[in-house]
Amino acid sequence: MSLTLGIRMALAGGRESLARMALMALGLAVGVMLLLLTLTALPIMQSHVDRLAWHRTTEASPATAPDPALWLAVTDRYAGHDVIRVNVAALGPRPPVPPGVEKLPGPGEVVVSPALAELMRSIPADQLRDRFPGRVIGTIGDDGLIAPSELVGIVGRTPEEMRKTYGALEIRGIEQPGEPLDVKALWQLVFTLIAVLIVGPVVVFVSMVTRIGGARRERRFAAIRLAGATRWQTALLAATETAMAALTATLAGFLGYQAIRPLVAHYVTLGHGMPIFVADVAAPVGQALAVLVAVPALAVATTLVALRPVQISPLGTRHPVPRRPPRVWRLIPLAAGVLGLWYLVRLDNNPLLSVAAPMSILVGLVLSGPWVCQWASRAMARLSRNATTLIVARRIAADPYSAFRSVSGAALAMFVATVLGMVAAGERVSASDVESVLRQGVVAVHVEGAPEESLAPLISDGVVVARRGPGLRIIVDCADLKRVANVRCPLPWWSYDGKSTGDLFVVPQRLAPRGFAVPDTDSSAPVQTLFIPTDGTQAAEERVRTLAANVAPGARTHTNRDLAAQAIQRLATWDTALPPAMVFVLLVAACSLTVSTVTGLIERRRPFALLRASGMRLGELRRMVLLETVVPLGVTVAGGVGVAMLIVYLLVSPTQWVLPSGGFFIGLGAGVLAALAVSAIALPLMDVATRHDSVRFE
Amino acid sequence: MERWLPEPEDPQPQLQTALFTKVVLALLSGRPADEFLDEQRLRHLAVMHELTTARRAAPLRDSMLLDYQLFHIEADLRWIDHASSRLDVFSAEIRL
Amino acid sequence: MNKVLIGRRLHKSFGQTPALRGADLSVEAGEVLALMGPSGSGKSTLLHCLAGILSPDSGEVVFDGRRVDLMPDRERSRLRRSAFGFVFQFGQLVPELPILENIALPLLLGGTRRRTALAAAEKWLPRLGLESVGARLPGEVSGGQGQRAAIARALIASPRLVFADEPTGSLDSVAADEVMELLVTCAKTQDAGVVLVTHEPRMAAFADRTVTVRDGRVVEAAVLR
Repeated sequence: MSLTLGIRMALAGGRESLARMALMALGLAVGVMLLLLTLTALPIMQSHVDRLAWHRTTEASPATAPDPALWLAVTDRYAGHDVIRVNVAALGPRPPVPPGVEKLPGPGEVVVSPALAELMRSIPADQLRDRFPGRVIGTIGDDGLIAPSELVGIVGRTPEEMRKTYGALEIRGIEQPGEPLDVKALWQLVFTLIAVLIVGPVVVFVSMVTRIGGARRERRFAAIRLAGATRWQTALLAATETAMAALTATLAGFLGYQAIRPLVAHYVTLGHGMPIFVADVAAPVGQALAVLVAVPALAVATTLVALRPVQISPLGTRHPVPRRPPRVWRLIPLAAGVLGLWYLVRLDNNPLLSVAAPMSILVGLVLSGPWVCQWASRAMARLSRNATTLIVARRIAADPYSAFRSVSGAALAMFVATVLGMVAAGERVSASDVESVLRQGVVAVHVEGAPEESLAPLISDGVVVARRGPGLRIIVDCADLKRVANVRCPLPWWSYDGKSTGDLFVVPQRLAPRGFAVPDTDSSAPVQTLFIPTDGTQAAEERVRTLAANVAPGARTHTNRDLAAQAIQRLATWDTALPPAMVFVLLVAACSLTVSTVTGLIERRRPFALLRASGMRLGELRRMVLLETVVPLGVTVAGGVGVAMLIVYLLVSPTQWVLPSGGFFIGLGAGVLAALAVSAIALPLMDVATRHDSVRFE
Repeated sequence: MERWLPEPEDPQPQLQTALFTKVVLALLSGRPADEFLDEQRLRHLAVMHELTTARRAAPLRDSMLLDYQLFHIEADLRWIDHASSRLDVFSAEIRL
Repeated sequence: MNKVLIGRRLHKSFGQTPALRGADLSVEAGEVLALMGPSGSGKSTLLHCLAGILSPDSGEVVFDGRRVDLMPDRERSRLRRSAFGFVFQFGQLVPELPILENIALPLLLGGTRRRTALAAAEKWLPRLGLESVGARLPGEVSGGQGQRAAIARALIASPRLVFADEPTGSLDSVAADEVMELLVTCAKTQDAGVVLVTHEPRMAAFADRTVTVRDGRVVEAAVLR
């Protein structure tokens, strides 16, 4: 009975009820979508790691095939993109085969990824194609690629060639995807993300939307109670409306999530700078189901809690009990959360704390809001000089809870936006710190000990040879080095400059060289790096690289373009993630303000009409309505932004304190302006809405 | 006088004068006027009840006349209520 | 005489304002009792306490030997569904349900199957002259029709008592007479008592007994007919 009754009541509730349900459905759909997308984070990372597995094949990899093979994998670069090159030689009829490949290419054969095939077609051979000598016999399938546009090629060689190649390994098997990632740390991140950025605003949104439409709904519930419904029955009827909105929202959110997956795959670049496979953007089924069940349940629970005071009396709220004013204790959860965060960052990485602290901050923000509004209203009352501001101050002081409630969505959204913006700014700064020391046009070929005879084609006039001496020392003449790199003599110069040297020397364990030595006549030490100057054009550099690929297949090469490209890639991730996040934030802010402004106007039509009838000018009334929203909004947004900045500065060490970019402030300002514009929407309507004759008096 | 004064009158269209007189005399002579008004109210209500019962059973022609009487008795009652609430002020003014 | 509802020494204050200061009242089975008094005298509050809608600060309310003021909310809701009926001045019809379902509401809330409840409500329509408006919403019918629907709803579950708080307050005299007539007649037919709060003597005249409430107390003098 109650179910069909509730459904019919919800549907028959008129424009107001339908509008409420539509708004709730919209907010919840967005929330569901975001939750599902957040859940894809772990699978994306996991599949990334899994896809990378076969790249990590070494001689110690467990056997996957009866016969061994010879293997040499190198990450090469072309024009700022990684190109992965694997030289293989089968040592039997059934060698280990990487995923996505039907059979291992034999000598003179090459298997490439589709993207590489396309690239090779469009570039002169001596810059790229020649690095993969042989006939293309097939393409690498999706299983063997990290991303659809990955550049990978497998070159088949003869076993003799491979045995002569420095760095070739004998493998018995391809490295398989191993245990799952260490999820503990990742789960903390994901969970915190979910809690702070999504559940919080959504709950606030739902509880706010639930409370609107007060008068008519209270009459409805009072009538039902009078007819003999228990509190439980009344609550169920109230929740039916929410449940219906929530169920449609869940469906819509799920469909939206499916629709937006390709977009996410396009935007998400995991440090390799390439859009990933759409199939990888998939929330695990169990977790997705949990979300689809939990969100409507959460919405219904919020409704039940939010409506509790109303459903009690069959007389409606004829004698409303005034709530106690907010006390100082409300600030405690916020302070505790910030302290917890500080403790977390500086001292200890407790997993429980890393979830509890952000949640405490979020809850604390919501709890502190009314208190802040109350104090703002007291200050306003003291400073007010005319009747309008005094009235507004008293109204806010009389009910700071609803004053805050109407702006809480916007304030939380601004808080979230500030956190995101500051983190992005931090990323930007740390990314731009990096600068290459190689001079323009110089190609550093890290042969890492390849036999010198084989390097003869690379060594010509002007090439600087750096050797590796005992104890990880680099033997190179500083004056020579100065010709190809921005260094200062004597070496090492970075101990007093603090610069990065990632591209200068790549020693086995990727550590900085332990020291330097001056070359002596004994030139028997193995060659570490060849610095080959070119005329600086990209074509010339790529030709050198192609040459190096064939002469020293195991060598990695760097130019000064590479480091910058990497940095740009990292930046691009944040830069692309930020606009959608800001859009979401603005959406939430605008939605919640619209809801509260419009319904506030509708509910207070009669008092406003009375005020007008008793002599208040329309302009004054408008100013009053605007102030009523603007003052709590300004105060809480300032508070939210302040707390966000505080948090981010806590998370980051003092040397990296940086203000967000201008773009962020513009975005934030735009958000605030948009919020104000929304609250101003009601103003033109006020004239019509509160005209004396348009309000029916009983 | 002792007997006449506290006794409530039957409501009639010309009752006002008698009622008013009784109240004033009661006040002047120091008798409890509020009790008198209460009794009068109850009497009025009783008559209204009888008339209403009759009216509910009567055809329209008769009921219109009964309605007329009822409305007038109701008007009297309104004055009685009004006088009750102003009694102390009224008495002070009369005694003066 | 059989006293079906008794209220003793009832006190109730709202904040600082006392509304009832020791009111005593008893209702006989099947009688129509009118509570009259000036505004602010506490008559509505007395009605609400007797009906179990409000809890008195002190005193007791006894219905059929059971203490209504001590009952939990679930029990009181059940009373409102089955033993009590209500006709208030405003706002007791659910705006979103058609008249027919509003009438059937107490039965529906009590778990009666929908078809049975609506059939029972159907029977009430002609008795109160509502045949033509069964499918309309409360906002679409006149005040008198709305109050008549409220009467049907109050009586559909065969209650022992009907509580009416200014049922004719917003009606003109003709509609008011109709409503009172229907209320009293239908209640008598079902042997249900009526406790009526009104400030209009013409409406109180429909009652068997009138009691005056003043300053939160029931004035002793009552007229028995």
